[in-house]
Amino acid sequence: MTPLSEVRDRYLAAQLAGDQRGALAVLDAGLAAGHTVTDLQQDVVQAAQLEIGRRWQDNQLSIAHEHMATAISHVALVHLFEHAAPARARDRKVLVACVEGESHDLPARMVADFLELAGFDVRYLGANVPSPDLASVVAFERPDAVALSVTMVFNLPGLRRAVAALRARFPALPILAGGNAIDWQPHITGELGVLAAGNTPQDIVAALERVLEAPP
Amino acid sequence: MTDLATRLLAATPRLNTAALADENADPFWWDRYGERGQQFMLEDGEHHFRYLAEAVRAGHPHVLVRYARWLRSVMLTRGMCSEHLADGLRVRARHIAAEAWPDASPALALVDAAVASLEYTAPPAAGLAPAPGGPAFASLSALATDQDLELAAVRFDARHILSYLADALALARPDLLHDHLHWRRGFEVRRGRSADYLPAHLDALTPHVHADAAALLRAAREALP
Repeated sequence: MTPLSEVRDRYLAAQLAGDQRGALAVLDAGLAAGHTVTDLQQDVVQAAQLEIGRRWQDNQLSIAHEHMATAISHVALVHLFEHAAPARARDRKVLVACVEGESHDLPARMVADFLELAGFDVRYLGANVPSPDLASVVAFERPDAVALSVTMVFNLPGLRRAVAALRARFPALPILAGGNAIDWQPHITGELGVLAAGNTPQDIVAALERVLEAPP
Repeated sequence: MTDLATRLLAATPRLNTAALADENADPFWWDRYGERGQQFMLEDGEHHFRYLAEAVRAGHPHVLVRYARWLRSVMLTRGMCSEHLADGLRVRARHIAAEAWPDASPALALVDAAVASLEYTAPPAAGLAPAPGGPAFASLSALATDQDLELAAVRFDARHILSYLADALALARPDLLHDHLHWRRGFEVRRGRSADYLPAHLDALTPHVHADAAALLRAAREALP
């Protein structure tokens, strides 16, 4: 089987060339070679995004290149999702959203897909969700838990506002917070009384299982 | 009175604009990056305040230190040096101090910690700053006299050139120093310094740094246009 690192390199090369069809073909070849959708999500798409971030940091790529590559990854995630077989439904609804101000939605998109494939009923709200609107959607959807994504530390005030808006109306609703900003400022979960989602999709599934399956 | 972090965020637009005006006293910024650079400086300055506010809330410098080191890695590959970042943090601290908030001292201490975290503590990048009153200072004084410049201006330049040198050594990227000095040669003339100011400056610094650093300075001097 072609090693995932090699699949990642080919995917990255296609991304940076702006070759969307080529990138999808790389993923198809990975699936045909026996890699799982989850492996390709994490070790190819996510890993390629991290490498793109590193190259931007090192001034090897412009913001425009980063955006072009990320747009391809959004399509790639949809493509992979269509090839995945969901696990048995859990009868648990989870709402996934980026907090107010947060425009980096790819990590939340990956989490939403992963939860859906893990059998959760997912409502994905995307980037930069205003806190009052988040609370309104929760009132309508009545999820069992909310997972909030924050990539940039300067958007942590948005997390505080989102948690306050949810607590005001749904004091018992489990809230998970994840993303790069939580890694940088880990005390925030304790400050806000929310659960740390962890660093991998498996972590967040485990965290949800703990909170949703705990006895009342 | 609201908490310090909230006040910092509320005052950010005003304090950051004032800080940017101070930073622009150094003609480096406009000459090197122009109008587009001003926008980046404004945005980065706002981020300085936002990360500082988070550090204040945490009561710990961790997040600000991590941000400063991360931002340095971005700045170094775009033609700046560690001291430029440290300057940006220091000038914002001065404006915070000028607010005379009775509870501002933790914020100032956090900025100090972030600035300190930018100092290299391991060879070969450590210990390049000239000791006050030492022989390097005497060389810079002589250079200032020869070039008919204020000693403070010459020391300012030395601090930045040595910072580029330290960054180049820390990253094993001599090109960072070469590229800067290549650009700086023209900059010095554009701002009215003599054509031999930069070579003379490098000559003044070279005897006072360790062998690896001196070799890098000599190579960069020989490569000057």
